[in-house]
Amino acid sequence: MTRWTTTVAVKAITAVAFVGFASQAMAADVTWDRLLNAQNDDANWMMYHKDFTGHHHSGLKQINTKNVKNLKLAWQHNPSATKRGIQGFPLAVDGIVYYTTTSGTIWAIDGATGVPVWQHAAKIDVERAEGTFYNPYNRGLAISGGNVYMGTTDGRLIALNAKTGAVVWDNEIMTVAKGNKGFTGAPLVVKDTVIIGANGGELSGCCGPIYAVDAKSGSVKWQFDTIGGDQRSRDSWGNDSWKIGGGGGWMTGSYDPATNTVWWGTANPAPDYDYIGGDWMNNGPRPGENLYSSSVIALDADSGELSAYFQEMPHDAWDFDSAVGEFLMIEKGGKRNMVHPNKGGIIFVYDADSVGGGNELAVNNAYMIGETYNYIKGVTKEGRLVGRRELPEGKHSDVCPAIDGAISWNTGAYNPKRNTHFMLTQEFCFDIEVVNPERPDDFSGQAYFGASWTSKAPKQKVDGTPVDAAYGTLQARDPLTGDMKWRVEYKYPVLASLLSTGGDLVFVPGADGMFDARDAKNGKLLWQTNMGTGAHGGVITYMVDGKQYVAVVTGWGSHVAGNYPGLFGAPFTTMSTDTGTLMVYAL
Amino acid sequence: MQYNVSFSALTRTALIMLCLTGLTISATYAEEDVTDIAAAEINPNYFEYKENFSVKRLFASRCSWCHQGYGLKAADGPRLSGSTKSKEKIIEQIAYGKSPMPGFRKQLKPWQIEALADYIKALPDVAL
Ligand code: HEC
Repeated sequence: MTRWTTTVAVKAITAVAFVGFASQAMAADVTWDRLLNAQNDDANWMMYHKDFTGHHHSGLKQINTKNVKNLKLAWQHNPSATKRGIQGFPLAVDGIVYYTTTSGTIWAIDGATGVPVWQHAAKIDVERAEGTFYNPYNRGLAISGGNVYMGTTDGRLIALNAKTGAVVWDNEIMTVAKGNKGFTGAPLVVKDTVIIGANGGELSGCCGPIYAVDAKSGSVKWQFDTIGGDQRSRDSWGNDSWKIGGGGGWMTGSYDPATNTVWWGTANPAPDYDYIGGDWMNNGPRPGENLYSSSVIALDADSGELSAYFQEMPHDAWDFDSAVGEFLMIEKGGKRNMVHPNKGGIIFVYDADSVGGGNELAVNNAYMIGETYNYIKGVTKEGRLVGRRELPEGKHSDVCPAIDGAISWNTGAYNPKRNTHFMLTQEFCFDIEVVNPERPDDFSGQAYFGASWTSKAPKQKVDGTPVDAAYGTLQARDPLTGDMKWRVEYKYPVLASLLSTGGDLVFVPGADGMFDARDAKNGKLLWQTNMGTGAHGGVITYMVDGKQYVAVVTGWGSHVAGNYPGLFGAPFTTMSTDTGTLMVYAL
Repeated sequence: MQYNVSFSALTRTALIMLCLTGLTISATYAEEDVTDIAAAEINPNYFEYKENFSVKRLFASRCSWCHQGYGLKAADGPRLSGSTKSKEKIIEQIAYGKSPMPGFRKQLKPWQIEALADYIKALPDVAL
């Protein structure tokens, strides 16, 4: 372990105010109209999920199946040490690439040349931020109306002038009064508000709020508590356990303009694991279903009122939350579907129009994409879990998947021409001993889980095929039916996001640092380069002066990545967890 | 629970010797789990603070998210068995943390931190 920490580096940089020079035209204002129509604007990548379809697909096709073999490095930017790698999604707007690194540093870089334009390092209240497990993480930003927005691990939201990096406002949005501490996810701009959700699924805090903040003034317009906010939620946590139930919505959700609803995925309940086992409706640390943890929620964008919800994991006993921010809007035969992957390896297909009134969302379909799971027997088409494997106090062997889930928090991608959804799974398990943790003080925000475990390879697939090592998959499916079109196996499960393009390509940033471009039609590997270290963040494409670029962040290390040395040995045993680079490729 | 010092010390010595001879062994093959042995050594010293105190239970509810196998297996946090740090340094690490490890001085009582440090020092230098 290196003794030199990024925190030190970030502090040093904070003191240096530098403004570089851009060769490109500076960013124009990003109006709400531009964001609303972002799916028709392929030169730019203006929000985490590119646009409100959530497809992570750009129509750009200058780089395509025929010429991708000529793709080469155009430029790279090294932001100095960045603890646990770079985990955010870059944005590209009018020739400028914006991205974030550890502990809330934002970089604005000329998208054609790689020349830095400005940098801002947020001064973090380290004592507060480091009370969580997620203190080094920052997963990106949002842009609108001439500002860029970033949340911080100490509960602030910061607006910076997109052209200069000057601070427009910098406000504490969340206090520590109820035990929640900070933000790691990228914000989402909806009209004149900036929406961001708290982290804290493993902490004995409350109430995992999601905020809508006025983009101009920085004041909170509404707040939705993912747990304990309404009577239905409180009634589903016996013994007032919502007061220590964690909650949150730590990844970036989406927005459906047709119904004016914000769609968000929520975190797991605390404590992780439940020693009471099958009797969880009546007994144990959090008796009941624990609404709205491990759920998808749809909120009225103007009021923040609950419009609809669906709890993907009722009384989540495995930490298979719904925090994945991927919401694919897919219209077919006059029906609007919202497709959402859950960490437990389930794809839920919701009726996007079943919102309003605060009821359960209608589920059009649900199917499993994990290959080695045994925590449940399966899921019904209505989205109900079948054959739960509870984990009462004591030892349990070969529970699959491990706490890390079959699907991690990064996103897949969808090619609308082919109606193909590209998704990743990670296939590994663990042995676990569940204990009865002591109940912490209400609203205390302490570490709160109840198990020790050791990750290991799966022994077999669900269909009985023997397996001798952990592995990952890249799957191409019809997102509505789940029908598989092709499947590629990865020796090391890929943890980064995917990118789909009009050039009929799917880009896959590998755990071992190999960056692949595959044919969207059949998964054939068409191009590959070695980026030097593993990736587990975003990947985008954009255009400047008629030239298409593909930008990807690298850098390794996280709760999930921490399993890799034990599961696979080299190259992960020596892979740095304190570095990362923005790599940009072009023809 | 009655606890036999010489038995556990012997088991531990045997395990270390097995490791030195280069055999791949897993702690679970031992007569007794080495983490149980270390815990049994530590727990009674803290019964005055809490009846039937279990350091493994404390570990599982605060530390295991990053330190797998009760400290025997490296994950997001390093393996703790065989730590070369002194007991004082380990107490400091638990109290103040080191990103991404949180500091626990506000969450745990001093005696709990000390018990965890004692437990880590009592673990033999074996890996899962
Ligand atoms: C969020 C993850 C996380 C949690 C939770 C956590 N640790 Fe750590 N721990 C780490 C990391 C990462 C390091 C290595 C830090 C470094 O040196 O860069 C570490 C290092 C240590 C070390 C120093 C080991 C050595 O020999 O250098 C000790 C001792 C330790 N942890 C004990 C604990 C105990 C006891 C707990 C529970 C009270 C705990 N940790 C909870 C992540 C964690």
